[in-house]
Amino acid sequence: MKELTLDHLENLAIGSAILGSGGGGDPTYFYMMARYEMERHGPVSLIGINDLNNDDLVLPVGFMGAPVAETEKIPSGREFFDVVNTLEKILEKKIDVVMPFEIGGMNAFIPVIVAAQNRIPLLDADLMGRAFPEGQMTVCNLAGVNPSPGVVADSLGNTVIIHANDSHTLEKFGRQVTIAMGSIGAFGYYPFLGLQAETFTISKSISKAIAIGKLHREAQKKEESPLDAILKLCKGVHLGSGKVVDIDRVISKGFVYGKIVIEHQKDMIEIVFQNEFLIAKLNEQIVATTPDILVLFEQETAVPIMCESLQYGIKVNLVALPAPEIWTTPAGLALVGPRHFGYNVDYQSVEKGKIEESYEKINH
Amino acid sequence: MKKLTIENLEDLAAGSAILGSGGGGDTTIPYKIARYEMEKHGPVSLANIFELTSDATILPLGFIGAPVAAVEKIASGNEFSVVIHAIEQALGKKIDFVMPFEIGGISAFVPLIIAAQAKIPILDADMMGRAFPEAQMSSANLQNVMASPGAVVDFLGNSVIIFAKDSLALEKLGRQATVAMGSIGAFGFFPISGAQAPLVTIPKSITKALAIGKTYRETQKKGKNSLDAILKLCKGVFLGSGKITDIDRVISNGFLEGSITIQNKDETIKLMFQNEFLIAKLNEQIVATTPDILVLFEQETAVPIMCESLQYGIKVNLVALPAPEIWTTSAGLALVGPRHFGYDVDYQPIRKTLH
Repeated sequence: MKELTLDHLENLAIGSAILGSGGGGDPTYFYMMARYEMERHGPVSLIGINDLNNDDLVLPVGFMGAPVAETEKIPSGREFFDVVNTLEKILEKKIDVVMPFEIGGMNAFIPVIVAAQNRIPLLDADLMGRAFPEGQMTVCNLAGVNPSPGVVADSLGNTVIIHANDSHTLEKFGRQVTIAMGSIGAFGYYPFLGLQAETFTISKSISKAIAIGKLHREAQKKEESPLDAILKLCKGVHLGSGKVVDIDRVISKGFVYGKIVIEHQKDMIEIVFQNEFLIAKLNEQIVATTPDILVLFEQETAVPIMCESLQYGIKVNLVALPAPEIWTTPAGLALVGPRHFGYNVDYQSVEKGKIEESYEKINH
Repeated sequence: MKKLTIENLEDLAAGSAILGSGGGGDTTIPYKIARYEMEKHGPVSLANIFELTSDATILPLGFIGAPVAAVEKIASGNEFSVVIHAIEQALGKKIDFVMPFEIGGISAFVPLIIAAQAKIPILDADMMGRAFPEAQMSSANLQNVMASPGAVVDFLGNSVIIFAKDSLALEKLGRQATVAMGSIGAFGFFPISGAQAPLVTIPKSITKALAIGKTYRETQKKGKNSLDAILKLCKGVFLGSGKITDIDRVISNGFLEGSITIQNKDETIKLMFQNEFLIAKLNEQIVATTPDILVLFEQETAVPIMCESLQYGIKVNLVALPAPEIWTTSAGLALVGPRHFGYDVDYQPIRKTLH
């Protein structure tokens, strides 16, 4: 068992923003909330899958909706108490451990806050290995697990319990409920037992995000290129750079949809997104697709940019990091590949490689 | 307690279709399901509000969504036992009575079906005194009763249980859940106690629908004018007649919205609806508004027509029956009057304008 302390939070913020692939929401508020809760309640214990007892009840939590709504609609801070209390009441069992359902953006911080508030451990894992826009895009779903009961809560204290027959239905219902809540809702689903953790989760996601963030920040401190360091660590590729010259963004059906155009001399990069960046085209040619992790960095500050923070005129670097391996199988691609999002193209993998070992080295 | 038998069902179908004001859904299929269940399980008990013990728990039931969706998406028949089970779990109490949350259309039959299946008595009351498109348009909301917990269930058994801060939030959340379910869902909300029932419901709605249906059917049998008989019984007014020459109808946001135009030699009637008929204009002049009960009858058969069954070319009579009194107060009109639906006009009681 390790401890997650205040010192880890900045690394987590950068790492989760990178793994968010433009989605998962701007972590700024939640970084501050986590900081506040940890100053009050002390560090959070970060446990691995092997530290779980068989009958520990684990709850994946995070926000559902269009993260851009969160920038205007500040959370009350009570939402996740409502989620946890409601699920404990239905399941007639205490939630022993929380975890992020996705390791992207603000959703990496939610379980840290919930763990600090409730003084329960945080599981070093997630269900996506990055951020994805839809609730059924989880390894649990790949394993055929029923996500119910799921709970969505808003900042006013309205809560909705969903019992759905499958992950896709839960996503559909949860999404519509989220729309009624103003396109953002606190969400907990896929409650599972410790003994199921091995098959149901992607392990060490939080350590991975922290390692990426640490490397980024250390390179910056040394005035080296954080981009190069991350590409090396994650075996990613640099796809291009330029100025954002066009942004087309709309909140619809509970998501933020759109595309941006990046121009550099004669080259034109187009990125399409649905909460997360999904497809990158260079001069009309597809160069990277979901589930590879597309990340935009602002050139000057090397800060990763989320979909809702895209602005006309900023200069950016676009990189792609290889997807978690589980998503590159045919079953994985059926859930999260380009065709699922309506693009009639096959997944094109960026450079592949075993990278888990290198994360380990950095954190120790 | 009185008994409702198979003999009552046709009266209920006619009466609830009239009180549906074009909404609440076509009763054909639920009528058949109710008939089937009562043939199997026998008559159901109909309690009046004075027969309730104060600690009894009563659950209003019905469908939420665009009734036109129910025409294609046939109910499984198990939805409402899931609704009752979900609410019982959320309350930690058994449901002792069921009732329709609206007396219009399908929702009038829903409690009958579950009452027959589960041997639960029905309370002779509803919360709207007609049909209305939105869930917060309830007599219980007028009395500030908590609408939660509410449960929405689809025909696949998926369920959504809602704890909302107020009726409007419950409507919004329930409506969106319904959209995800294909625009129709089985719905239970506003669980109340026996002590609350006399204060927060509209009593005798089922009896009223039965009486209207009976008058309607008996005059038809005798070959008399059933429209006149209903207008006399309900103190309603005849607004006009003609042929439907235009229908504009769209399913949007979980409702069926639109308008129709009815034309005869020198008059044009325009009728606006959102699940239910809301506003009637005669030659651009408003002649009746919600909450008065606008009903459209086919001329030839004298059958009341629901919004989803409107067809080009049929000849119709348009009548208006006076609204239940609770809706004509200023608090009532704030909930269900024309302004709530976005029409910048005051409620015009038909009693005043045309008598």
